[in-house]
Amino acid sequence: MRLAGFCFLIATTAGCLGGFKTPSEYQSQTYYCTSDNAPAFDALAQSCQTSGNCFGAFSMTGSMQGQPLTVGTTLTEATMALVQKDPSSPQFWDVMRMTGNSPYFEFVFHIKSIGGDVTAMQPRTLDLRAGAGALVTSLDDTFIDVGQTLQVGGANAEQQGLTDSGTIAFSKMDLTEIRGIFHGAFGNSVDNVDGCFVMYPGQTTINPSPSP
Amino acid sequence: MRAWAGVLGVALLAAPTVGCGGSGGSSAPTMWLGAMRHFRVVGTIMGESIDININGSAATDTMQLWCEREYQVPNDASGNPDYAAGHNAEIRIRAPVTINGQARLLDFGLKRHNYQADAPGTVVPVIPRDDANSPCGLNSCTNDNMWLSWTWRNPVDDSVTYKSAAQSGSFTLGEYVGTPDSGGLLIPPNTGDIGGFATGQWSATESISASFDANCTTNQIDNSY
Repeated sequence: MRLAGFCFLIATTAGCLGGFKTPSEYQSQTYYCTSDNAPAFDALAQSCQTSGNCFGAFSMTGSMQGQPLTVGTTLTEATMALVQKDPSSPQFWDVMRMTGNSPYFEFVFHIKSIGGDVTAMQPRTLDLRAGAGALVTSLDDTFIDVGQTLQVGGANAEQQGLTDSGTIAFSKMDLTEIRGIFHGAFGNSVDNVDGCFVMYPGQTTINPSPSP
Repeated sequence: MRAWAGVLGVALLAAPTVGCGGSGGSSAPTMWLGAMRHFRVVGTIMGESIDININGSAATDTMQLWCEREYQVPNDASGNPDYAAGHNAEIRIRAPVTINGQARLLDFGLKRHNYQADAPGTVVPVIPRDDANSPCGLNSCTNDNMWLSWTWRNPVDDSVTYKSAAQSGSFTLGEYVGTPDSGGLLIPPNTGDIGGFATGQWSATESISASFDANCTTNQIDNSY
């Protein structure tokens, strides 16, 4: 069963009780990636810095696994990996992982093969390319490998961001704060998702070569 | 909640299935089939019957069957790798196969455990993947458990077309051979073999049993978890 369809199943099976319907929990979620909601999104993210209990904020809307969804939440975990060949070499952006909870599943939004010198800290827009990490130009191109791992009750599934289906635009990149917006098809071409994030990395690691 | 059938699971559930990756047999392995290079997998994943049997000369060809070792190596205060503080954290068995007429790259991942520290015969339980509770991380990888992952990749660009981790199962190490380099951790690429027997249950209708022994062609370091 698709995780996102759990609510639908409840509503459907409950129909035998006489038209009983359970509204989707997604209706209680806010999509923050609009100009109107930008202040609230910032406040949500900054609440993590105040409380120390979370690592930023994440919001998305669209569909995955054929189910419409909207998520607006804080991040329970945010990690980052840089590539540095040796201590005297420059550091490059490589991997970011953002973990959070939607009403029906936990998600891990992961980004690989980012590239770019860490010290540059310039806004960048990268194109979704599944398998970008396997390219010889892994950290030297404009392609990025994006996916979402969805988990619930021990079950999990990967939703690969499809090649040429969208972009990630980083508006801020420094070692303590990453901001961006994204659009792409995840899992299949009809499941499109738009979203945004602010992450404060709770862990930053160094790899000698790009993550596989 | 029942296990997740996956994106394509419903559509493919009724599709006819065929063997792949060599001459398929009918019996699923029930134990490690030994140190001769091979990859035998029988089961069902995403509604498709899996019957992979790579053996003989094909199994010794590292273009047709190979393994990859993944390590985690923290840096010391100077920013140099501290291999003495590192550990193996993952094994991937890879093989190009054909399923239902479609060429795919199978990426069978034994994850988040230090297999290199185990003695032959060690049985490692498979636990559900929970990224918030990894059984192995950069600073500690002494947990007795592991994740077991089944990934289909596009052989052209290595992109993921399906990936899911088992909810239960186990792995019995058959062998982990090879001589670490001067750093004492990394076994040089294209040397060393890893073999064993794995079972995995993804859902009530999805499970596999697998036996393998493969030459490890590459090492990777991933400190990102």
